[in-house]
Amino acid sequence: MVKLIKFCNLKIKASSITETIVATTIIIIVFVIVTFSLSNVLQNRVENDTSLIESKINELVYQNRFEKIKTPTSFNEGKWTVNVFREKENDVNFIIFEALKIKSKKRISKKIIANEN
Amino acid sequence: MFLFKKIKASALQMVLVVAVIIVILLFAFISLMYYQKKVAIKHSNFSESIYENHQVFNYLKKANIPYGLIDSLDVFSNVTITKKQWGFFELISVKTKKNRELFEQIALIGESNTDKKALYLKNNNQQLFLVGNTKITGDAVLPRLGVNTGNIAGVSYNKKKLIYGKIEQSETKLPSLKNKEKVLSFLTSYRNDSLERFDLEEGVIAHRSFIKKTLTHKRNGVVNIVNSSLIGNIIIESDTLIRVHASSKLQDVILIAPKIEILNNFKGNVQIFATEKILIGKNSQLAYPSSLLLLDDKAKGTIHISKSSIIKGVISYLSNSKTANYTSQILADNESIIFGEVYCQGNFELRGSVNGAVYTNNFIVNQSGGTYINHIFNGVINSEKLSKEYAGLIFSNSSKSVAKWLN
Repeated sequence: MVKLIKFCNLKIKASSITETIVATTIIIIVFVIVTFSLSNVLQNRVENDTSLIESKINELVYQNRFEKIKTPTSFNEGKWTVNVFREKENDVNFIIFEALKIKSKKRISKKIIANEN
Repeated sequence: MFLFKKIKASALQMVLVVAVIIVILLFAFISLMYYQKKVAIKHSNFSESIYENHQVFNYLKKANIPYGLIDSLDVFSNVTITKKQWGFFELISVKTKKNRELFEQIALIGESNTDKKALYLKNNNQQLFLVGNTKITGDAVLPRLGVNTGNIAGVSYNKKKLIYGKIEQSETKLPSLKNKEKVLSFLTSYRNDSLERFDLEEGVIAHRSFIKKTLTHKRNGVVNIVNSSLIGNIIIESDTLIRVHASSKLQDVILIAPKIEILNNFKGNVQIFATEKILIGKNSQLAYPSSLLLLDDKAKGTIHISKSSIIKGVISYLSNSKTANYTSQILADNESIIFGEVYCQGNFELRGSVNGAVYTNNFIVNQSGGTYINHIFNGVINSEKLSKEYAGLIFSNSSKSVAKWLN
C-alpha cells in the first residue's frame, strides 16, 4: 500500500469511522440522484423520439406523390396507428397523414395539397 | 512506521469534491441534451416553415388571390403573401412562420396551358401554304380552307405529311389573351409603387433584391446600356430608345421604351415592352423567362429577331388596328430559335424555328421581290420540344406554375 501510494505520488489521509460512514452515505445519495436523473432524461428522450414515425410519414407523402397509395387508408406501425385521409377545406382538397400513438395519444400530422392530375 | 504516523482525516472532504465533480458532469450532460433538443426543435420548425412555403405555392397554382398584401389564408395560418405584376408575369412572395422560424421565397409565376397547340391560325378564309423545309409538329388549329403545299421562287414543300398532328378548325378571332390587361395595368401603374431612382452610367453595377423597393431609371432621350451589370428588381424606361450592348449583363430586368434594340451577341434575361420597334441582334440569347411585347395600334411596328438568336419565353405583338397590311410585324429570321410562344395580332414571318406554339392572324413571306400571304417558308414549329414546366401566355384554360425562383 505504501508502495502504491508512493508510486502514484498520492497522499490519502485516513479518517474516522463516523466520517467514513457519512462520506459513504453522501456518495451513495449523489450516485442515486445522478442515476435517477440520467435514466429519466434518457427515458424521456427515447419515449419522445418520433423520428421513426416521421420518416414513415415522409415515406407515405413520397408514395402519394407518385400515386402509390390509396386514400383513405389506416394501418398500425409499431406503437402507432397511421391514418391517411382526404379532407376538403375551402374548396381545396388536402390529404392528411396522421400518426396516433396508441398509449399516450400523442399525435403527429402532415397536411398536403392533393395532386389532382 | 506507516502505522504510527499521524494522518489527518479528510474522507468527507474528498467525497464532497467527488460529488461536486459528478454534479458538474451531470449538469454538463443534461445541458447538452437540452441544447440538442432545442436545436432539433429549431430545425424541425424551420423545415416545417419551408415545407409550408412549398405548400402555399402549390395552393397558389390553383387559387386566385388579389394583388397586394395578404396577411393570412383560410387554409394556412402564419402566412404573408405579396402579389404584384412584374412585366408579363406575376411576382409572388410568400413568407411562412413557424414559431420564430421565418422562411421567404419569391417566384415569377406564369400560366401554362393545359392543351398545348403547335399552331393557331385565325380563320381568315385563306389556305395556309407550306413551302420548302417547313415542318409543323403538334396539333394545329387552322382556317376552314385548311392547309396545302405552296411554291416560292421554284422551291416547293418537301415533306410527306403537311401537319404532324391533329387538325382542328379555327375561329375568326385569336383566343383572347388574359395577360394583355394585366400587362397594360402594370405599365401604367408601376410608377405608383414605392420606387427608388438610380443613375444609369456606363459600367454601373446594380443588384437589387425583389424584397426591396424597385430601382428605376427614367430618361428622356436615348439610353445606352454599356458595360453594366443590372440584376433583379430594376426597371429602365426611356421616351425614345433603349439600346443594350453585348458588354452588359441584364437579368430579370424590365425595359420600357418606344424602341428597344438588343445588339448582336447579347446574353441575358429581360422583359421588353415597346410600342414601335423591338430588334434582337444576331447571335443574341435571351434566357427563360424573357418576354418581348410590342403594343402597336398604328400597325407600323415590328419585332425583328435576327439570325441565329435564341429566345426563351413569350413574344407577342398586340394591335387593335384592323387595316390590312403586307409587311411582317414579327420576323423570326433564318436559324433563329424561339422556345416558347408567339402571339401575333398581325403578320408573322417565320424563317427560323419555334419550339412551342404560334398564335397568329396571318403568316407572310417576303421573298424574291414578292409578298406571299399565309405562307410559311422554311419555318419549323414543334410543340413537342417545349418543356412541360413552361409557363407563359394566359388563356382561359390554363393553370399557374412557377416560371422562375428569384431572390
